[in-house]
Amino acid sequence: MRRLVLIILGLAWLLAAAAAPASPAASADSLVAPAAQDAPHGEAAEEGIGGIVKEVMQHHLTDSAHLQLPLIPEIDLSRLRIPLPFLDGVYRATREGNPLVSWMVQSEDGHAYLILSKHLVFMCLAIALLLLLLLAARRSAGSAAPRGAGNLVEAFVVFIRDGVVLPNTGEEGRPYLPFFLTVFFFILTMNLLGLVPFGSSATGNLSVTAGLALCAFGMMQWAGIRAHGLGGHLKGLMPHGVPLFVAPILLPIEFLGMFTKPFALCVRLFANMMAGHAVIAAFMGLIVVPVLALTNVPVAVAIGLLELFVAFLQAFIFTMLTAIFTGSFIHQH
Amino acid sequence: MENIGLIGAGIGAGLVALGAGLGIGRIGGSAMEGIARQPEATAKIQTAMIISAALIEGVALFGTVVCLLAVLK
Repeated sequence: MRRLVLIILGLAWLLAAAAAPASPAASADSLVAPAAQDAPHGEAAEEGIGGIVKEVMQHHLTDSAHLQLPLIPEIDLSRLRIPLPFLDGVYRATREGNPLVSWMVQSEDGHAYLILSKHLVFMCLAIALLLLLLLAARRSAGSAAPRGAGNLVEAFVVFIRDGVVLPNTGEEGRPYLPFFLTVFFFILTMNLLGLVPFGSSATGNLSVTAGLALCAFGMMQWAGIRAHGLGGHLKGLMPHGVPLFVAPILLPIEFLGMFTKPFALCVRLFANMMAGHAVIAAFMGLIVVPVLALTNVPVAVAIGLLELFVAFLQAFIFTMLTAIFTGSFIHQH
Repeated sequence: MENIGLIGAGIGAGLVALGAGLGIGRIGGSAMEGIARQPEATAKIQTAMIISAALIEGVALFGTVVCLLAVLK
């Protein structure tokens, strides 16, 4: 369990770096003018019901530099930036040349910062909640019959271990179990946070899912290299018994396949979470039409319940597919 | 003429739903049949069903995202 916590922290750091790209644009937007004020003189079609629905959807779906919580005034997150003094030199040196570094940090005064955004805040909240839950679960570790949080976590852990990871990777996958459990719990918590009022799901941000998929990609390659060595791992691109003349076609396809798998993971999670929230927001946005409100609210509630299922399903699917792909690299054909 | 893109996005979203519905419907139907024939394999069939449904859903959502981009452009 301690390893699990450590891996969560590591993953969180990677993701914090991955999720930051969305924020510079968002904060720049908020500096110029709120998007809603821009709209009227842009197009006339923006007004009316369509405009309201669109505004609700965009506000609900996109990352922003502002955090809205009940009872307290709106928080401007672009002020709460975290200085990264150890990157100051790197940033200055590579400011022009290296887009990767300038994505991670933003600087008007020559210093490097990690900028917070709404999704980043909710991602950190997910990490904090998970840490609390897992530390609470640790208290009953070792006892024959876990209670409370330990019981809750154990039910999930056993399900993921015996139902998802080990059947797909075999016994060789056991050392990688902490990774899969971390991914499952992390995605699940982020998904569920989007269903809480005033919440937002960080998995509805392409940068976050890309970070997760990058971790999954690393996991697959690492497992393959650990099992067969680097040479053996690459040899797995060319299955046994395949005639040599198909190699020019097969090799590029297999090689691309290595990358399309995590890419599909990334887009699937992102699209599922975003589409679900878009549908809810669209129905909730139509509430401004008095007659439609009678039917829209029940429909939005029903879709909210469906989203609750999807939140679990997508965390499960991400873990399951990562386990299947990792298993296919461990057990080459 | 500018709004013709919106019609395209609407038709596209409809086609996506049609394709995904057909695909997931076939999976669900076959899974039902399989479970009816072999009730003891229910758990395995359900897992495989959910995975293939998620794969189809993923492709459908790619399409949905493209349609959404066309509208929100």
